[in-house]
Amino acid sequence: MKNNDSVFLPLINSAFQPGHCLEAVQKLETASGGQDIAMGEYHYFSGRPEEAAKEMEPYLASPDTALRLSACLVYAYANLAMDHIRLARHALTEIEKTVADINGKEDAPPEQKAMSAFVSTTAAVLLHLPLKNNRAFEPTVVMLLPPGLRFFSCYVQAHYAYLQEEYGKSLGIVETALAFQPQVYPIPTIYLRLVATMDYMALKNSEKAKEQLLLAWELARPDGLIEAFGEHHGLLGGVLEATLKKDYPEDFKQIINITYSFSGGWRKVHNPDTGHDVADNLTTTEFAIAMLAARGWTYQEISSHMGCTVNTVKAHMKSVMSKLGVEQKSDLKKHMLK
Amino acid sequence: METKSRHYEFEGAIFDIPMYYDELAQMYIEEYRNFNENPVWTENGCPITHTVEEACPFGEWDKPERFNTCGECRFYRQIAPHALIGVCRQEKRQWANKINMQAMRQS
Repeated sequence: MKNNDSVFLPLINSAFQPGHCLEAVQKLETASGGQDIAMGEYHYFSGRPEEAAKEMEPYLASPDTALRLSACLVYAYANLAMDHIRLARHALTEIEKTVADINGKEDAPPEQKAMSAFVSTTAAVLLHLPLKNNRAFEPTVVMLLPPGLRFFSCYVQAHYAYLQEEYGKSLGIVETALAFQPQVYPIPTIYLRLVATMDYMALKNSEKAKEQLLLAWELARPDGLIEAFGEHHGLLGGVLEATLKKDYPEDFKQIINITYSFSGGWRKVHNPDTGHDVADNLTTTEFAIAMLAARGWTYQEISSHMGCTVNTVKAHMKSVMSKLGVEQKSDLKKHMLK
Repeated sequence: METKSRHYEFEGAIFDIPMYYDELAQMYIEEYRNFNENPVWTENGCPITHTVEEACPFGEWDKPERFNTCGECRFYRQIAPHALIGVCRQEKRQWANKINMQAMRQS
């Protein structure tokens, strides 16, 4: 079946067995352009933003709304990951314009309105930008999305609840979404499990956090879908270091490279737009330790969680304080993520 | 590679802290010793400590939301503006008391 819905972020919306991602892209039956979008998604999620951006370019001004919104979202994030801020902002502005245009049309089909709400909310939440009406999605919007995107929207909702420090609510959204999946939608599931990892770390349940991360990893590894791990590094509170560093050193190194490039671009959009001052001069290990310390974890707790000595933790903390020019541990929060 | 250090003189305590260049932050960073394992004392017997060291059992805090570190403790006095090290004014941690306590434990 070839329908126009299927060109809207078709890979996020695809159910496939782990290890068969590329095959799923090649087998997609979509209207014209859908397969290119899916290939761009695949390249983005597997940590190849240059290829993703190139594949999206022809669709940035497409007259087809689904193609245009998909391309702009992937292009924006791919450029953030390459620290090409001007191009990322250009795509985010295109999304805003398209959404405003759709919202301004009384006769716009409800599915199109749902798509535009999905893209604008996803772009804002993932950049930790404020939302209009302080609400991620209306339930009526979610119901109009195809299944895989419905699950991804649950991730966005859960991420938003996490940012509001409603960790229990966020976990509830994740568990419900996972329970209702009729088949495995790997990309939304990886993201859902990562937000559950963040929630458990915020609730100081290190063991459950590691469990969730490894479940995400089991799904991601066979297809090399590592981008999400790099994107979320700062919020994962050292779980990557505690779980993957020793057993998967090469993958871990690649994830850390993604973290450096993605977080650099992310901060350049997030910091000026929100007035926050999230640190950009710390190593990934320093950032992970500082996040935990700012949340009140003791050095002993951090060292057992990350599998290093208390003296190592303290040495990193001293370096963090010097780099940030912070004189007291309680002032660290200003430079950390929520 | 150029080596650098910062010289401190405070209430009779004289010491140098080596510095290293951090490529990511593009700045020189002080590489502090572990003051618990290698203590430095002022003339009056007060220990020098780093702001992020875990506070001792004699620590006291003014803020309700407290972090258990020397820097947040009310006995901590910064050596200089913006310095990450300071002096602990808690009498129970002074050198003379420490020696007395050790002597009492040994007897």
